[in-house]
Amino acid sequence: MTTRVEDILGLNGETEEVFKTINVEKPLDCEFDIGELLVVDPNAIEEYKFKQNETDYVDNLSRDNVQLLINELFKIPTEVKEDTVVFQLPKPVTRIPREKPCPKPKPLTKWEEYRKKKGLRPAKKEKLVWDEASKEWKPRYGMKRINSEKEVWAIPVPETADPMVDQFKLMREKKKERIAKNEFQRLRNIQRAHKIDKFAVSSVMPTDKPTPELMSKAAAVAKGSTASLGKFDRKLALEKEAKIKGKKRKFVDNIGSISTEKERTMKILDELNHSRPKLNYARVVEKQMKKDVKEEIRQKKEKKRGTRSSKKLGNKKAAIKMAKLNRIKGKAKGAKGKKRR
Amino acid sequence: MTAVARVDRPKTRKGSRIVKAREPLTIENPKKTSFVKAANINQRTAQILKDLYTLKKTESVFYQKKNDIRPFEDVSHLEKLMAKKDTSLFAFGSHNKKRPQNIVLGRTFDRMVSDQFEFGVENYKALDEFKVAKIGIMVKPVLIFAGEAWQQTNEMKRLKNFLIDFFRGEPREYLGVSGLEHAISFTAMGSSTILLRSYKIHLKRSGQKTPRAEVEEIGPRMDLKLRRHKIASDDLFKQALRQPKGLKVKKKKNLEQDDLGTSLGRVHMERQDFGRLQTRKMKGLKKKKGQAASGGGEESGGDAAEAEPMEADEV
Repeated sequence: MTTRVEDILGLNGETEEVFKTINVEKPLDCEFDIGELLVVDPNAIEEYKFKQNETDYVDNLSRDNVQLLINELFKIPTEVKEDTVVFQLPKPVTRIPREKPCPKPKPLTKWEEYRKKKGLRPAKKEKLVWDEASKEWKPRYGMKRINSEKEVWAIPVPETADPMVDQFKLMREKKKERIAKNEFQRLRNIQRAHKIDKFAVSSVMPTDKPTPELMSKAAAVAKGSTASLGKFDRKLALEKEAKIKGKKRKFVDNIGSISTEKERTMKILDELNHSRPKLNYARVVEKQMKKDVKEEIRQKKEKKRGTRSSKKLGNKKAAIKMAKLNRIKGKAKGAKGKKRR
Repeated sequence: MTAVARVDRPKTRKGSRIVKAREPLTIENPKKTSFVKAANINQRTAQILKDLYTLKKTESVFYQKKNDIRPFEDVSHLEKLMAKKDTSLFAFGSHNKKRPQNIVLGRTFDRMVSDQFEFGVENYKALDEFKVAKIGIMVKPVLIFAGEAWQQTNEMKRLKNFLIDFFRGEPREYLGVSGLEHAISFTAMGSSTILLRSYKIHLKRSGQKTPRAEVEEIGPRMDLKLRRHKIASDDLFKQALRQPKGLKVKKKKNLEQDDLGTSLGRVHMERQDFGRLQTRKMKGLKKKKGQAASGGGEESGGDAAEAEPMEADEV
């Protein structure tokens, strides 16, 4: 027994001597970011020591820095979590760039904007609706929904309607029309959110393959886009004066032939007399733009299809898309027509 | 002008979920890394990539196929590869006569490469060549930056920031003592050479509460010679550092902390209305329940009205 006690005592005496120090001395203090477990040691590397033994020097340097971080870390109060002692790390101080830009609020659609202005709240709609006909709950939207077109097996022909018209076909067409309208509005909302029509008015549009003329024009526009129309901008040594002129207004002579003047006045009066609504040019331009873009896409697709060996007219998807496009076009025309009448 | 948001809608539920998962977040997920091999990569350089991959295993994608990419000439293909897996850090390895054992490390902001640094690897010793016990995965490493060169130039400062970004692992709220296992040190020898060393930390008793740290090199070991680099403009970097509104801690008004850590507040009071001051409560002054609702004058009137019929009965 006694020997064991002595052993233990002796061991204790030995270990106290064996313990190495945890103190590290450096001329300049290190910076720490405990939250990130980061040590920045601003002390210069001692070249001569490094050259004597490279690995030992770097290893010792790293050990010292780890020790400094641990000394710093053990100053933090500890907690017990799930039976282990843990340090609650502070938030990292080092600022690291984000991988994506800050999230932006979603742009409001035209309807949402209107709803906000009016202070309307969306009506709460339950997912399931009671179907009287089949006596069961059915989803409001989606598969096996209530009032599904697929389940209609008889449609009464309205008295005013042409009895020869296929009411089922009409119903399907109407549904497609609704889908097309929704798609159209969605695209318009995207356009509104990005203010595309503003750029459309600009004389210089962004393109994939800019020509030299377009580039010089863009440069001239950019130069003249200061408050002083580029008057005080610094110029390069051999830079030419940008020639960009606004449209000059032309006025009709005060004194002219009576017949033309009469014609002009009558024209104005005539226009005033008509109850035709005023043309919204922005809308017309927007529509035309969209039309052009769609036409382009269609042509590209057709080209692609042409290169392939098979000319499948029965390509269902393409046919549906074409139908959609035609309908949108037809609709736009129809709307115009109605206004004129 | 920013690009127009996607016009075509995702066609499947799964697709829309993926698209949604990749939208910008207020609190971002840890950055993921793509490891890409060049067409001309040799075995040794591929080993370097593999070693870096092992250090960052859980949050990386290793592309097995070789790609004909030169990141300093055209990054578009690399950006595409990274967008595919939604990663925002990359490590790219190549090898040729002019630039042997070449690795390019970089990061993107908003799917576009912002910073990239090219290193020649010398004095390389692979992870496997160190015959020692390795560390577990998902260990947050201690990062050490030694040398005065880290503070000297803008490039080195940015490189330091980038290396922290690349190697830091997931952010932690709590850290156990056993989690203190791995250390990566970057020693700058001048502005063009960085010694990368990786250690396992052993905590020994020191006779005090704080343990004594010992390190053991576990690899990989490499001396990085900085070759070409391309860093983001200060504007772009600043934009990338911007924090969303929800994350910023609002400074509390009129609250200060003195040197002892005591928080002192200054409170502005409105002028007190002494007429409403609560003085000593007495039973006699207390209003009864029924009386409390109506005013003082009406109370007496009410009482009289009630009393009248009672009297009549008695008479």
